[in-house]
Amino acid sequence: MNNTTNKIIECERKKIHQLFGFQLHHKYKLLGLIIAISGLCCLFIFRMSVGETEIVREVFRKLILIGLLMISISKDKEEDELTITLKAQSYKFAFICGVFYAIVQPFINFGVAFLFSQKENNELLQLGDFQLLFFMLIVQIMLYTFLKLSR
Amino acid sequence: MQNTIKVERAIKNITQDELAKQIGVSRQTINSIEKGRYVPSTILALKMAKIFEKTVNEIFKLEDTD
Repeated sequence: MNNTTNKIIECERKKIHQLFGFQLHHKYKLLGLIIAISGLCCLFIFRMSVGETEIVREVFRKLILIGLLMISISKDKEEDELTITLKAQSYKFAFICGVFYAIVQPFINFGVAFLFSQKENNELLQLGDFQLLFFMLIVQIMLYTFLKLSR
Repeated sequence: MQNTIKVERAIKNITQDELAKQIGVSRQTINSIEKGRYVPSTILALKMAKIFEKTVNEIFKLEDTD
């Protein structure tokens, strides 16, 4: 490889490392929490009062996911190599849990539906993207908090 | 991995918090390293060695299980 190619590769490597190290400022953790809780509350309020439409439900679901993602990728007050390691461990565990959840949950839903309604309900077999992403983000945030408190 | 950070701190008469501030990590991280729950990076080990004026090998020792 010539010198120019090496420079391009090195430049790309730096960019990728910068991308991997991207984190939001600590203040976004609180903002994310407010967005997620607001989204959850609005979802319940709309369901209870005026009745939710598909578009309203989707908007609030996206808000909840954005809020949780902001909590997940924002820095801690004291960020160091241990917290980065703990965060990496929590992401790994959340990813594995998410895969298992996606595999097992439809069968559990099917089983529960079968037990209570005594007939097959194929709609329950579908696992939505919101359900899966919500589960993974919640597992990651909770596990990271637990690991951080018990370090 | 064993380490002698607690002893070195006592010799230098510095607290976990002071050491943490000097090397730019949290006090909890120093506590985790001291208790052997977390193995620090080479950079952190070198920073500690510099503060204690010892080599990394004098502070951190491998165990048979490592």
